[in-house]
Formats: sequence, structure tokens, C-alpha cells
Amino acid sequence: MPLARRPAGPSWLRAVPVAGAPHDTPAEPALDDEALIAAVRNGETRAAGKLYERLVGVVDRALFRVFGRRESDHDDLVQAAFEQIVMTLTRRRFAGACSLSSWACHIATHVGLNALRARRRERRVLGLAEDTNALLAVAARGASTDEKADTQRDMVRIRAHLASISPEKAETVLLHDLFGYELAEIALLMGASVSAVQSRLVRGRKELQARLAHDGAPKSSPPPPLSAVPEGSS
Amino acid sequence: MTTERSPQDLVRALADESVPLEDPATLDRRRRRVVAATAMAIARASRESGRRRRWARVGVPLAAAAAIIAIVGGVWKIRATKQVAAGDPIAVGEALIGDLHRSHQGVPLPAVAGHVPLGAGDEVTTEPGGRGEIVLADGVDITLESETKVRLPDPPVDPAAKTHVAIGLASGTVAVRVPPMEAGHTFSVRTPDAEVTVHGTSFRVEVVPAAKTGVSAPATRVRVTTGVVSVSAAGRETVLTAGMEWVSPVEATTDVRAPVPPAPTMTTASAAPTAAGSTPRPSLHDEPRSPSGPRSASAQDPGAPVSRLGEENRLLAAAIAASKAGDHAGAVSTLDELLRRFPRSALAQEAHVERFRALAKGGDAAAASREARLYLALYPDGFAREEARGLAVGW
Repeated sequence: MPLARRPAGPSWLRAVPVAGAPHDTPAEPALDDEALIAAVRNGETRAAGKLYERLVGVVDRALFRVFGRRESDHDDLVQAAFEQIVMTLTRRRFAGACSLSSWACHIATHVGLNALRARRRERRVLGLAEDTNALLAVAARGASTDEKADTQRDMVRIRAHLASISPEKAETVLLHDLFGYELAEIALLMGASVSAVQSRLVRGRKELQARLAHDGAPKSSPPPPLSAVPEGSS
Repeated sequence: MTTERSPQDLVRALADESVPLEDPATLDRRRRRVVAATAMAIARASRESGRRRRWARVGVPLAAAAAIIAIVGGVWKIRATKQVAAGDPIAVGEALIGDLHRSHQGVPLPAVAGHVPLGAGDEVTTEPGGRGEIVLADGVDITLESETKVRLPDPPVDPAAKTHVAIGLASGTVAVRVPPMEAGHTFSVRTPDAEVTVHGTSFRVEVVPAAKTGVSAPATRVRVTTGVVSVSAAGRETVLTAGMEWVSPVEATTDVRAPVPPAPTMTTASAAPTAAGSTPRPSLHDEPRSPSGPRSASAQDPGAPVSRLGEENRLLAAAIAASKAGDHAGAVSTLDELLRRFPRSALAQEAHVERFRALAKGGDAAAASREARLYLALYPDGFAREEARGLAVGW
């Protein structure tokens, strides 16, 4: 039985079909989640289009939220998310306890976080300056008091730290605090107990708090590189 | 630092960032690519699942045998893995008009509706008047026109591997759109007498049958819409840029021609706007302009009656009248006849537009969407592009 999703943050907008739009043309009867999953498991390739139409919005938004923009390889990530969705459906990792769109959001978040972490590692290996550090340095010098710029820097900071903490914690924090899922639903999505998920959430937040305090504390000196904070520590 | 907000507040604030809308062409391109990849993933998973079931049926004796073999040496396993990979789908095909016929090493494969998974070495043929589309695993989008036969590459297309992927074009015409590729990764179309290689562009390749070349051998015609293409033929390599056309020496004495305005049916499927700007809408009274000049114009429809344009007009008018009268199926049928009999008609663009309109009015949203996508591929700057985009992404 799919669990209800808790609204988080601002009220959500809902797309409403416009009269006279091309969508008005009668389409084939929509498949429910169960029928769509059955079609995928039966190897019906024509279900691909329906699966895409059903989930592309969720996948696109989840990836956008993780990165804060559509990266140059956004299509690659969308494709990777859909391939993962198909794989998990056919391997019966999706038990049907939550809705298909919740599952897609979970997969896309996972794919996005993995890509974010990989990008961060690449920058470090190549010796390139972190975007984050550059922005933090600007912030530390008090270069701008503009509220919007501050908010943007905060977004960059929190994303950088989410990429640094352990994947389970980061995913739990995002699913709960960003996407608004209940602990019980996250437990179903991640195949863990509710208490384990709660523990990850609390520890993830604490770790983020510590990292935020760490990069925000020294106002008189440039901030330390993010790599100075132990990765994955709890 | 910047703010004293809690991690929860900061994470929640990520939801405040507005997600910008994307243009319909980008959405359509992503849809084509991801749907094809998803269909391939479904086909692959289905095969793997079947293998797992068969393996489970055999049970313990085979598991024991496999363990012994694994102990003896890993070579067998590596070979088996390679054989498994070779059978996996590497592309997805879809019939846009008519049916797509598949075969492998000359043996016909059963017809499948919707997105058809295609394996390495498969051959795909379109019917007379038919059209189809193939999307390879690495995002290369190939539109097959009437009576076209292509052969998929033998080595599996692996996006992770920096390989040279080549499809064979035995006959007919393909319009190809190649997404930007990684360094070292190339794509090419091999015809009987030439090889066209690209790195990220859109172009059109046509094998002109021997009957139309006036000599005993077929010829190849290449036209580039965007990017750069190199053509190798008879030991010589020619580089073509956007707007240029090349014909193999068997058909004409001139190898490379200056940029020419695209003729209606010669417009290549292209996601990016062309340097030349918008495609001119063909006049209802002009003969279609052919980049190959009068020779090609006469060769494209041998034996055609003088009143061809009148017949084309009659069919289009009949289709529009049928649609207005609510006979949408009749309109589609008439338009199909027009496109089948006069594939290079100056009215082809109008016919495609009327076709997707009739399909939409007739309630076949899926077919209307397919037709709209075909229209966008053929006429990226066509007069009804906005209407087509709405239909293409609306289903």
C-alpha cells in the first residue's frame, strides 16, 4: 500500500491540463503502477514510453534538486536512472510497498548523489579547486552582503557537504528533508528498519551541522578545504 | 559565515530553487534517447531473467559442473560472457509508417509491436512508402526512409567503450543525428562504395540504385546539415561541412558541391539549428529542388506523368476534405498514398502536417505523436514545428 507523502517546504504546484492543448487528444488507457511494473517484468519493450512519461518528471526534478541545475550530462543521468529503475523492477528489488514515483525519486537521488560524489573526487584527483571552496573564500572575505548571493552560497555549501557524508545518510537526509518522505516510507525505499533510518537522519543532520560550522567558523582566515573534514565520518 | 540556518532548513531550501522549463526540442531529444535506452534495458533484463530461470531449472548438477569448470580455468567463463553480451540488444527500432522488417544473417525475425529491440548484426528494412527510426545505445538517431535496408554493427555498441561504430547502408536513405561523442569515439555509415564518418553532427546518406545512376553500380550521396563529416571512397577522403553535398564519382563528375538550400525531403533530422537558418517552405507550385540538379530530379520518379503536381494537389485536397468531413482514417489513408506515390513531393511537408493532425483528431494520440516526431525530424524548422512539438511531447 503506497504511503502518503508529507508535503515539505512550500506548497506544491500541480500541473493541470489546459483545455485545447494537445493533451486533450484521447490517449491509450493509462496503466496503473502494477500493470506498468508487470509489463516491464514481462519484457514488454513498448512499456518504455509509458514508464518514461510516468516518471520523467520525478527523475528530472530529483536530479535538478541534487545538483541545483541541469548538468551537461543531465541526459546521461536521466538515462542511468531509468536503467536502474528497470533493473530494480525486474530483479524484484521493488516490493510495491511504496508508489512507483517514490521509487523513481529514490533511484534518481541515489544516481545524482553518486555522480555528485564522483565529480568531487575527480576534482580532487585532478588538483582542481573546488567550486565550493572558491565560493566559501568569497563569502569569508565578506565580498557580498547580498541576501540572494548568501543563499546561493548556502546551497553550494550544503550540496558539497551532502556529497561528503556517507551515501546512506545523505540519501536519508534528502529524502526526508528535501523530498518530504516519512521515515517509514524511506525505510521501505532503502530496505532498512525505521529506527536505522531515523538514526541515519539524526546522524546525517549532526554531521552536516558540524561541517557547516567548520567551514563557517573562521571568519578572519580563509576556510579550510572541505577535504580536511573526514569523509563519511559520523 | 553566510547564514546561521540549520541543516534541515538549508536542505529544505533546495526545494525553493525553481526548475527551469526546457525547450520542446530538448525534451523530445531526451525522450527519444531515454525511451530507447529504457526499452533496451527492459529487453536485456528480460533475457537475463530468462537465462536465470533456465539456469534454476537445471539446478544442482549444472552448478556443480560449472564450479568444476570454473576451477579448471576462467577462459570458458570469459568466452561465455562475451557470447551473452553479443546477444543483448544494442538498439531500438520503431516503425513510423508501415512496418519494420528485421532479419539476422538473412533469417527473418518475428514482428514486434512498439519499440523493437535490435541486436548486433541485425538487418532492418522499411517497406515501400514506409519510414522507421533506430536509436543506438549511444544515442545515435537514425531515420530510415522508404525501402531502406541497414545493418547494425557487429561489435556491441558500448557507450563506455571508445569505439568506432559503423552501420551498413545497403540501399535507400538514412538521416542520421549523432550526439556529441567522447574523444576517440566515432560513428560511420558504410555504403557499398563509401564510408561516412562523423563525431557529432547530423547528415543524410543515400544509396542511389544502379538503375538510377545510369551505370551498373549504385552510387552514394551525402548531405551534411550540421557539424563536420569525412567521406572515404576509392582511397580518397573528403571533408564536408554543414550545407555541403557529396556524390560518389560514379553518379557525377563533381565530388563536392557548394552549399545548397535544403530541399523539402532532403532536410536532415537535426536537433540543433542549422547554420543556414530555417528551412524554406516549398512553394506549392514549384518542382522540388534537388541538390543533384535536373538529372536527379528526373531520376527520382522515372516515368512520372507530366501532371504529377496536379495529382499531388488532388490527393492533398481530398485528404483535407476527408478530415474536415470527420473521415480521419480516410484522410490518413489518402495522405499515405500521396507520400507513398510521391515521396519527394513539394507537398510532402503539408502532407505530414495533415497526417499528424488527422491522426490526433481521429483519437490515435500515439500515432499522432510518432508522426509529429517524424515531421520534426524531417523539417526541424518547418512551419508547423510548434504544433508538432506539442503533439510530440504531449503523449
